[in-house]
Amino acid sequence: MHKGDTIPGLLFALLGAFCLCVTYTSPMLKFGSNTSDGVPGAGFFPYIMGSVLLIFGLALMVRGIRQHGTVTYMNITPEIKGNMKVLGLMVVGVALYLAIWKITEQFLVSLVLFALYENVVLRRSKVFTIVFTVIMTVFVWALFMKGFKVSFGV
Amino acid sequence: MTAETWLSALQGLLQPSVILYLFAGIAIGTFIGALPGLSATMGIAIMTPITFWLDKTDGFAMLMGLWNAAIFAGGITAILINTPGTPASLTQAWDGYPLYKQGKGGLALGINVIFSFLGGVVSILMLILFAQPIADFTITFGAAEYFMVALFGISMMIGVAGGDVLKGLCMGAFGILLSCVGIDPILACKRFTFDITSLGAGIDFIPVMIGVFGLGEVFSQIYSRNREAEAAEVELRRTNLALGRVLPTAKQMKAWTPRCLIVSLAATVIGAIPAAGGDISAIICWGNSKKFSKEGDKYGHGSEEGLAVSSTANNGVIGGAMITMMTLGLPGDSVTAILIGSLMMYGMTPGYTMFTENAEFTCQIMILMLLACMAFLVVGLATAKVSAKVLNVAQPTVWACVSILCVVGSYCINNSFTDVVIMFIFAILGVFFKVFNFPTGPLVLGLLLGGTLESNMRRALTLSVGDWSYFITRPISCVLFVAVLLTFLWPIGKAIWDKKKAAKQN
Repeated sequence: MHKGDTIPGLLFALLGAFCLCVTYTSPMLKFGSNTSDGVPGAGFFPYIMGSVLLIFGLALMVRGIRQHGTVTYMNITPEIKGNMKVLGLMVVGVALYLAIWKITEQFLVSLVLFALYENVVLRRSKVFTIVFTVIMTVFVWALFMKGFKVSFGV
Repeated sequence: MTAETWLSALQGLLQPSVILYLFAGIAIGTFIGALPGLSATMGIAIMTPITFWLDKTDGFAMLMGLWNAAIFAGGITAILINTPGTPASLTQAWDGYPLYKQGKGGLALGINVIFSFLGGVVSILMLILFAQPIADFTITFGAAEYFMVALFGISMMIGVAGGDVLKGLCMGAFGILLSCVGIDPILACKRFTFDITSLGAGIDFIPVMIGVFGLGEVFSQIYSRNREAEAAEVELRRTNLALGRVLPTAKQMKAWTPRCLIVSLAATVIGAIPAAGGDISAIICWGNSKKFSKEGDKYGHGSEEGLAVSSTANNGVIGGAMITMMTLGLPGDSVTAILIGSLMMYGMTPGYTMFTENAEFTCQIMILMLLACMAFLVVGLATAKVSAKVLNVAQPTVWACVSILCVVGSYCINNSFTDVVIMFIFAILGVFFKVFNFPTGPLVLGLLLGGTLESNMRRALTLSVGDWSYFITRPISCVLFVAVLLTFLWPIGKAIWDKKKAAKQN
């Protein structure tokens, strides 16, 4: 984090290299077409864009190394530390919401649980949490499930 | 488009449902715009999936109402608590808040509504006047030209949107690579699907937008929450100064209108440049107006004229952004990028065909934009003093609502759980992009225009049997190629020039 753009640059370069590898190993994705000379194949664009991403990612990484930590993005104050905890809990909450929905196939149940959870994480009062959950659940049920006939099946 | 088409389009809009959805859009847009942190882009991203269930006219009535109202409503918080509701209302805070402190808050809110209306109407009239001729011109475009137009759009997003060019290039390339996922557009073979059936159709653009601008924005706001600043805002709301009268006098209107008419024309041109949104327009117009105005020294310290200029400039980009979107298929800003996705969902492709095969609907969009301006003028003036109440909604309430709507909305587009997962992944990525200062515009544009870019490039190379000079031997394509080069080289040249200048001064 304290190396500026080094890590993000490396990640972009790895992504570019990964795309190049996938394109190279796939028999369908060729640079040129089988039919006529000079006509591009299905792998043409992924090759070009993978290379572009690899080059720009490396450039970003090198620039990050040369800056040698002069650019700091994450100045973690005690407040940010607290915020990161809430953010982490929210991300986990959404992931659990999707997992429960996928496993149980009960969309409304997972919605109710998530609405309760996120309000607890965001430190809202008990009354607010219950009222909010009821209103949001009824809103989604009435507008999307009854009104627009969305089944929310997975 | 003939007079008959316009009349028929107008007749199609004279439905109670259209008016109802237009006003619903205005209400939602005013709410979203007035809340700091919620942008018009986020509003459009969340509401777009809902509009797919409506008739296309009703859906677009809602989106047009939301967009126009959200831009003007961004000025409400800028004026009352010195916090721009949307990036486009930054300059409104510079003059609006001092006016509020002087006891002229009502007048400031009135100026915001009236001149946002003026900017919006003039730019839409420009859209009506110039869209058809530009669309007619595009009929001469072939694969090479469309490739260059798409490349120009992405390069402008990287060059004009500001920030770091190298990071913009990485994001643009990443976006284009994402557009490669799915079935190849020419040879119809699978690419990067990893045997996941739902990836065969590619990565849908709207869930990515909802992820980055909706849930991702909520995550970012949670990450950067500043309780001290929140407490200061609450204190400012409590201050509750007198607002005074809302409407400017006839003399004031006469004094400001000519300048604002020029500003609205300039804003329309700025809006037509891909990536140059309301924020850039407002800063350029406000800065230039300050230079040339007799009361330029008052700008930034509570100038009514300065506020009128800012209000005109941010709504003035709307028509311009729509010109490039409807004629070239290039989004002028992030909102028009989502609107392209909406049009595609309704089976329409922006470009020349919008003015031939869907001429009536194109006219309806333009009329709806005019109606939206009129509606927010009426609603905005009638509720100017009440609108301050919107600010009392706590941020965690908004976060909780938005996160649920993002999940529901991203599912509703295609009834696909994969879309929800994609939205969630991009929400997490969105936080990292924000923390590490990576611009999201090039990513979004790369994903949106990647398909156009690739298919037209390959089509052009097929037509020329692999001859790359095909792109520069055609006149329009060559001009666009030079423009792309200049867009990329300009920031590099400027950086070298600035370095030399700094070295000389030292």
